[in-house]
Amino acid sequence: MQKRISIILVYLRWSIPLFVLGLLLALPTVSLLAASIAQSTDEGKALFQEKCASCHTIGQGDRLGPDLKGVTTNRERDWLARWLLDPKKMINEKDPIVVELLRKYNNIPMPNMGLTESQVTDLISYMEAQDKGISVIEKTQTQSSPLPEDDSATGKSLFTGVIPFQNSGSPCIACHSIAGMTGLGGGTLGPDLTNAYSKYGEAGTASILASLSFPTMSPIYAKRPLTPEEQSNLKAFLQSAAIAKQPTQTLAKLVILAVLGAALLLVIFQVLWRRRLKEVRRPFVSQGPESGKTTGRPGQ
Amino acid sequence: MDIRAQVSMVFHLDKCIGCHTCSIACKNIWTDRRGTEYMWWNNVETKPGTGYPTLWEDQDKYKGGWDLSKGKLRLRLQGKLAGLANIFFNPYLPTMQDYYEPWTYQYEELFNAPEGDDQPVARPISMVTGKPTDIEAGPNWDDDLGGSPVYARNDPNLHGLTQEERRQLNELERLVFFYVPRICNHCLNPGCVAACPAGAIYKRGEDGIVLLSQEKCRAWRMCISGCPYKKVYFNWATGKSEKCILCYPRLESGHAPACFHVCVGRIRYLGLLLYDADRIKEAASAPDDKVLEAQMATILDPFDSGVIALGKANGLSDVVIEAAQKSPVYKFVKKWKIALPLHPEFRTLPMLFYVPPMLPVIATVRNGRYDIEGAESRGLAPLISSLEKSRVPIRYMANIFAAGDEKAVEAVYRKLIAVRVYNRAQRVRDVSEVEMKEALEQGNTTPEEVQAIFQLTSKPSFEERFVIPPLAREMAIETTEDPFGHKLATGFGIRKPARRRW
Repeated sequence: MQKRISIILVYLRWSIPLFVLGLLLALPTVSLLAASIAQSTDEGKALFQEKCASCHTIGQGDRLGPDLKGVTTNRERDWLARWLLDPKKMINEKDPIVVELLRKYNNIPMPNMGLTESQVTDLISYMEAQDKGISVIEKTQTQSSPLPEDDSATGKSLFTGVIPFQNSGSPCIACHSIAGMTGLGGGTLGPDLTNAYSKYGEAGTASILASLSFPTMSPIYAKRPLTPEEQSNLKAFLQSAAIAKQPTQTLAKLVILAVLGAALLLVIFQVLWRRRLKEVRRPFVSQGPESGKTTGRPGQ
Repeated sequence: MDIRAQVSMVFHLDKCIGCHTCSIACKNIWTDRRGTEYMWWNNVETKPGTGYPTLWEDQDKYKGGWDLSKGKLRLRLQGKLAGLANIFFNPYLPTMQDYYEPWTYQYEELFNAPEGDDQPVARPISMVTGKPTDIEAGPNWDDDLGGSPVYARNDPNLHGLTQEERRQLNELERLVFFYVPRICNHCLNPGCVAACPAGAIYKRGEDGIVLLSQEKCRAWRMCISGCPYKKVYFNWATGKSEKCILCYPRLESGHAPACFHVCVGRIRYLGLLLYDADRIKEAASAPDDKVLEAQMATILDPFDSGVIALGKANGLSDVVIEAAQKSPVYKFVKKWKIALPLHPEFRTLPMLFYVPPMLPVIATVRNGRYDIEGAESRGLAPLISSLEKSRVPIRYMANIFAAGDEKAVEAVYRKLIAVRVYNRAQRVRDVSEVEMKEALEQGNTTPEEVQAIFQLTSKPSFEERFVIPPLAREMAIETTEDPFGHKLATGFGIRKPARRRW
């Protein structure tokens, strides 16, 4: 019996690293699979809708990022390809065009969208086609549907998960913190969203909420998008948070709480075990021979 | 009546010379492993002194043993609820400083030191930090009254002594001390067993030896506090507690325990006592002034036909009864009543008994001469027969051996004095017949008894000192376990080492 339990324990002990290892192996496989599916459908257009449309338009003005109309004529194809493949690398290399663009667009860097070389080719050829006048006027989702009245209170409930998202995406607080949260604030995986609204502006915020295509977020929300109503409520909440402007200091709060908690525990222990045994020998030895209970001294 | 046999011990303190051979024998056999550096299952203490660990007798500090709360017996350490609350932190553990920081010496320096003007020395090295250390304490730090102005005067047994008596104990030229060797008492009502939350400590039914299972021990360390004699030690390397096992592997093969066997002064006696297990609770919860008497009452007469019959019905074999009848311990404790337990007021009913040492009488040095008080008028008599002029007050001995009952200690001394006076009269012939008779009367004894005491005290054979019956472990084991189930499975040492190691 004991032997069986110990075997189970050994399995349990190994199951966690095995699980992590499995995840590590599975993730690239899943992304490769997704990429090949995107490629097999209609080349660049679908890609653009999926990856770029939240921040960029073609011919409908700037959003978070610049309007991409004429980009294929303004930039060299080679430069575009490098930029799309790994924007971070070029930012780090301080490419002069990139530096200029960053200054113009509020220092919001373009995230690495994880594109493969063939996807990049597809995207560029799609944009070239647009620039050559074969334009298809499209309206983005956010602008198409009539919106119900914004409600920042409902937005807050959605943010904190009190009201779950309809398509069962995880609530924002799981990864983000924001002003006005009580207790330990929100998660720290994503950035603090207090200033998100003022940073991205209304149109930017709306488009981000519509697509949620950041590399970390898209695996979660691609299949569980927010409904238009949820988007507008969240936007209203983000806007009100930006006005309130109390940047959260989660870490500082946590440290203070921890220190206070530890101090309180120490006080409790000190009281609870005040009669504990302290050292016996050293105290009376350090008193020395003069202060003993007896009066008689050797050598008298 | 639930009659059982207990391997019990008598230490005759008059014969102890304080050589520590017992401690070394024990150390070499049992506690020279990693993690047992500070353990002394057997140690020898100088009295007056504070012992090892320092002031172990002060239960206000260490919370060992039992006390009476509204007439009910309870562990001084804690009840069940407090035991649960304190399970992850026992607040009454002695610190390393109350034992000592174990050390060794840089012996290699003696051989490897480069040539120089000075002799190389071996510096003491702490076995905890590995760095040179100033030794502050050791297992017998106050041996032979070393540091007595500090240690001896803090002896907890001095309470109730007058200032004059304390002064006498400490005065130069008149210093007095004696030795108390200590091992586990293998008590009838052990505090360590009661305190253990894991049920790892048990008293063997067939011989009463208290053992600590190295497999069941979970390192809660409540036993260390629970034992008022501080005879359970925690092994930091195995994460288990350890204690004196009365060399049971030796006993089972018919040998005396190592410390008994090597004893230079031959102070140690070992034999069986029959006791009534049903009377343990009653004895342990007796009022303070009756606890010694009650403990003695649990010990039964092995010659009583009723006891023999009930004992046999309870599974005691003929050889065990016979060994109990020959037991030197029975003679010292019950027949002659000259051996007393150490601190019976701890209520654990210790089964190690001490014959208290004869005490020197008060003397003073005048003009370079050593004057015994009263010697002018009564010749040598005060030297060998005076209890009133004894330099160590009876009160002090009563605090150690009789829960403060001075009458009990006095009765023991009267008999010991009678033995001395009788033999002086017989051999040296400088004590008058009248004085001898007076001593016998005061000692409540007869010449026959005195001769028997003298025989077993001064001239016992090996077989008389150690009466070890065949313990028949093979049969005792069969009552609880199937020996064939363990074939090829048991060896020496710890069978399953602790998973946690430092």
